[in-house]
Amino acid sequence: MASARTKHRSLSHRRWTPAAFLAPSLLVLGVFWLLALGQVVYFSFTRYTAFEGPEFVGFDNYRRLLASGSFWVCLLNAGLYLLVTPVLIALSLQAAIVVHAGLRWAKGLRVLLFLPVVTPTIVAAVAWRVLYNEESGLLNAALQAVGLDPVNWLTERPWTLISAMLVTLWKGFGFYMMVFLAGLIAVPKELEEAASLDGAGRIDVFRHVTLPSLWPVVSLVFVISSISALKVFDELFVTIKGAPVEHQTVVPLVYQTAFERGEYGLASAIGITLFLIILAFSLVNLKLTASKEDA
Amino acid sequence: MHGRPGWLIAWLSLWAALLALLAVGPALWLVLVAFQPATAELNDPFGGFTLRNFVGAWSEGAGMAMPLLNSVIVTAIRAALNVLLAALAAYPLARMRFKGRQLIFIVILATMMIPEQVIVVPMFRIIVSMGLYDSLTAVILPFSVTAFGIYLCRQSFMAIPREMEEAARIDGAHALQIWRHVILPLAAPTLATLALFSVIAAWSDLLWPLVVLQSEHKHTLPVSINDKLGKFATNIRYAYAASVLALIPIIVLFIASQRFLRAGLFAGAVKG
Amino acid sequence: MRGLHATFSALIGTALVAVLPSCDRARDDGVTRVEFWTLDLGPFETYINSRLSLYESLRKSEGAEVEILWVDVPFDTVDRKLIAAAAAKRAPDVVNFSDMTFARFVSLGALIDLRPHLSEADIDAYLPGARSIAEIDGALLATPWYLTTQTIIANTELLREGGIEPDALPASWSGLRALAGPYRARTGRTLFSAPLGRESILPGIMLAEGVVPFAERDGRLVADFNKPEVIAFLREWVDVFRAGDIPREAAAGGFAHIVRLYQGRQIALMNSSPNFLRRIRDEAPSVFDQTIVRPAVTGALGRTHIATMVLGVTTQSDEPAEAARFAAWMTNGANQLAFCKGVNILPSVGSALDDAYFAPPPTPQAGEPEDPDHLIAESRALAAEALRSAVAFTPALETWPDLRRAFEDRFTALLFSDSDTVERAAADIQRAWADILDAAAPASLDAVPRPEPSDRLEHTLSHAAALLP
Repeated sequence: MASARTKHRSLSHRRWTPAAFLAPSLLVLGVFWLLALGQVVYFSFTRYTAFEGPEFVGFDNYRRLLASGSFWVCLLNAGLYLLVTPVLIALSLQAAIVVHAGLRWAKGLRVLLFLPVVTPTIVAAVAWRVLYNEESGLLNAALQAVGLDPVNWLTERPWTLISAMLVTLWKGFGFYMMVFLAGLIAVPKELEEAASLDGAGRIDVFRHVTLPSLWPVVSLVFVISSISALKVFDELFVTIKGAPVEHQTVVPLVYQTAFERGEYGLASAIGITLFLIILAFSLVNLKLTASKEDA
Repeated sequence: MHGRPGWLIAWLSLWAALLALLAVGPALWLVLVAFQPATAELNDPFGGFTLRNFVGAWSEGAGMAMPLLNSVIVTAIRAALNVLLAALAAYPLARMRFKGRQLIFIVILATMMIPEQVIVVPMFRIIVSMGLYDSLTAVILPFSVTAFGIYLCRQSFMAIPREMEEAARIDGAHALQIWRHVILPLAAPTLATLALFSVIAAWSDLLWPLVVLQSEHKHTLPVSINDKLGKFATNIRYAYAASVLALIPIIVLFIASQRFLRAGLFAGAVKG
Repeated sequence: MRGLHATFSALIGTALVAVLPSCDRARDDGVTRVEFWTLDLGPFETYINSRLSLYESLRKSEGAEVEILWVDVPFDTVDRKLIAAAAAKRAPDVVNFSDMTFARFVSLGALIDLRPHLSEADIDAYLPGARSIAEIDGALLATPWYLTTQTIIANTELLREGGIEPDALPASWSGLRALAGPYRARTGRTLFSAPLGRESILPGIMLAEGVVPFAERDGRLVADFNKPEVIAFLREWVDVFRAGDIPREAAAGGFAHIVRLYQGRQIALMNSSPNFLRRIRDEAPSVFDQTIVRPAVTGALGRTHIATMVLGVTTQSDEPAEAARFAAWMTNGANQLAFCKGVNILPSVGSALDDAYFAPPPTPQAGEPEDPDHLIAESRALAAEALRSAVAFTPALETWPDLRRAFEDRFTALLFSDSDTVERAAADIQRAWADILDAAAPASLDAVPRPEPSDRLEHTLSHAAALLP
């Protein structure tokens, strides 16, 4: 680390200088993030509504959650939503390989594939809603053209969940493509060349040299995209607007519980549950990163 | 790149075309549909051409002018503060020796682990108790700095050779001057990247503005589009037009800023 | 860099300008301001505004400067709007709730007890059946406002065809069910229909029959659905349905199918809101000409169901005393009577019912030109008469809509499957209800309407007995 180097080259500054530089950021992060985190833990143990509280009630909210059908359904949906991750990895890796192959329009293609990432999620959701329209959308028209039954993309489980997942997929693959691209660039050329000199075919080189060296990136993308899949809100809230909360995942349930039903205590307990799940994924991430550095 | 067999080129080109279609298709379709008159079928983007949806979206209810202006204000201030505060905080973390530096850095990184979605309720309560409910400040303040931004700046500052600072110090510059005249210019590509990411995030943000904004004339574009999709919306095509209005500026800005974006940034992300 | 610096300064300046917390409602000018939200009453602006200025001048004559700020809110959005306003500590003072959403806000602690602010005479003026919905654990959490209720609408021709004398119609559900089989045997058509699966009326009827699917354990309301009384009650309906004496549409058709079938002469009788009479008059005049109205069908308790609107005062009100006074005044006999005369609704105050407006219209003399509104006036008088003993059979439970939905889902499945049994359905519903109540904030059995049998009971029972074949 750099600290060992700086020890004997300590820079002179007045005592309060670091504090002055850090103060605005620490104030914002401290008040809105750390304090809020402390509060959400406390709220989850209180009876707290838009009108009353907070008043300590122990594990009451958690007990209510365990008994709540909607909570379990939303949690299950969140689990299903994680299925977007492998598809996302496959698609973005494929895109990265195509862009990395050095076709003539590679740079333009890279920009093009990144456009969905830049697109505001609500716009992405609206665009897909047009395609999903059950009476006159392109997707159902295409299905019927090949003789299949139309699908209730916006009103019927599990299609509602799949519809939102497709938006997540569309919006996300460009970002992970860039991450894979960086990984591909970092693959030592000598290894690949050595392998092909040994007479290995292109596909063999990819499978036995490129892919293994990309493995840490795959696991990183897996963790990052899983965590953001657990936090999904916009795609569900907008794409399948009007579908009951039982068609959605945990964050829409938090939103509905807090801001449409006014139950802050209960919503906080849902939030804490989500936090614990995300934390588990983050710890896996840390562990992966650590083992990577050991290697 | 010589000697690649023709089948491989064809195969790659086919994939490139498919991916490009997937990436551009849905948004392009939306743009086309937004220009269709009410008489056209929804799945027919070539049924005519009209600006009426845009005129309607612009004039209906509270209109689009205020949401557009609000979005511009919120996005600009949020991005500017993101860069400014992160660059300020990162400097001592990268370059100064003081007690608790490591601890502060770890605490800052720890906030990256807290999802906004989990703490939205207390965040909202804090905003209400500060008397900021239903104000643009409420939309900006909690997101005026991010741990990610601080981390990014710190990495970039640490890569700057110390000699440049020493030279400035010998000339008698104090910390703030060194920061402004030496560090910031050298870290400009990183700052630009951070600014662009902040712009994209702020422009797209829906959940938080939805929670803290009430009055229609304070809505940002995403909140306003969300309203136009609601049960009481008069014309769904207005929502399409409004979406196109939200899409165009960010796409233009992104393409215009291409020269700042580098794959190297993602290499940093990969190394964790 | 200088340019960047200038940009930053400008932006931060703008940010500071944007820090404009919205100005406070409370102004210190000696005027008491009360914000009043109503549900979809925009069309009755004239009436509301006349009341508001009357109240303001009344209070002025008493030496108080009061200003009522009226906001009309669409029915579908009031929940969210009120939650949002409360979250920002800007909840209105007086709010109009329907009996369905009222309970949710009670469970959020949104409403104050009005008893300390109202006189006993004020409180006693309300019809007990309407008041009961707002009385929870000894507190009066709202004042009843306007009501709607039901009557029998029947086709005399069709009844006679089936051998039923219109003047001897049963007044109870059990009486009606008993007639359904013989009627169909004679005519090949069904006597009546009611929503049983979707939009089911059965949870309400169950309470009206005196069957209470709830119990109290450790002071907490629990589900008590899987018991012989409930199963027997459901079986009676399922048997009639499976025998084909109630149309298949009853399972999933909701309320819409009843009017359609009645207008198409496929059923002879329906029990529903008198408001449907106007629709029948406009859409099926020939059916309307054969139509009579009779007192609503009741359960074993002899009490008709009423849907009630209430006015509550929020816990965030800065002027609870003035707000409570206004809510009581707005719902007093004189004001409700004036409201009823303008709109086809019923009052929740006994004294308003005494007005000639609610008296039965004189029987038209032979040879006199027929007044098309006679039937409507008659239905109004009948409904008003039934009101005195009517009860809002809507439990004041925030979970009631969820409980109903769980019931409807399972019961609809039961109706559609001949191999399914009532016992199995009751056990499933018990489980679902237990989960829903477990997941909700604790409630008390007080929230469930459990009235004494009405004096009309004797009459109803003897009436029904006389009609049994």
